[in-house]
Amino acid sequence: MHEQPPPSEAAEALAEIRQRHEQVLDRSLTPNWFWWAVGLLVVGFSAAVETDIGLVIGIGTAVFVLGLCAAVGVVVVRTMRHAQPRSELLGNAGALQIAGFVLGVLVVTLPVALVLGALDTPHAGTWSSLVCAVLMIVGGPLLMRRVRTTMLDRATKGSR
Amino acid sequence: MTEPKFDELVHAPTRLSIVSLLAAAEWADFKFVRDTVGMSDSALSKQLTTLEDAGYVEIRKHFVGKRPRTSARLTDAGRTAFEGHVAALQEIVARAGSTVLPN
Repeated sequence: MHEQPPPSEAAEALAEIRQRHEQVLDRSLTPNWFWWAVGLLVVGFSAAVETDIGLVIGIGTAVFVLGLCAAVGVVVVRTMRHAQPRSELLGNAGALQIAGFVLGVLVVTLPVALVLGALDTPHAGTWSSLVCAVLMIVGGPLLMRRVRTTMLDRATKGSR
Repeated sequence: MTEPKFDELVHAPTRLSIVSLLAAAEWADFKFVRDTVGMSDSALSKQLTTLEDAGYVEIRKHFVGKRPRTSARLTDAGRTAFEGHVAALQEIVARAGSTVLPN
């Protein structure tokens, strides 16, 4: 029978396990630039639509669609090239955090858009999309930090 | 609850690093594991083969476009062994008290 390691070695092994889990999650979660990219694309698209000029709307739509596809594509390919975290690590808590973030953005942005529209504010759509962008740029990285903590806790619940 | 079971195969330092990475992932790319653990291609291949022979790891070779790609993942047996090993380590630490926990 194998002799078990001393407690100090066991503790070091648990720390090593946790560090390796962190490395998988750190390489796989949505990077900060993604939130900036999506935020700017949303604002640009809204601004283009509000010009009421066909050519500008067409270009704005194309940039928005292609930009969004490129941003999502880069994130997906980046994850595929490294390691996909186990989906079970997200759990109900992680799913609720993401759903809460989406809901939070909608709950703030929609009333802003409605109020600005009711007040006949010029470029109401662009202003409300700017609010949406700020929420994503500020809230996205915070969300990822929470999701990372949740996933790490689930991954290492037995290793610390 | 996972039954603590110390696993000598998993506990070897390089294999512990590899299995820990794989435990958090669905699939992990060979290069990602190699670069993260800091091993050579041949050394990682040898360790993965050992784990595969034990039934702990599944290795998949496929193509992305024209480029060959190798990925690895823990099998159910590997995951069970890893979780049992973690529980065993935790038990050893718990028996000794909190003074041995690293920062």
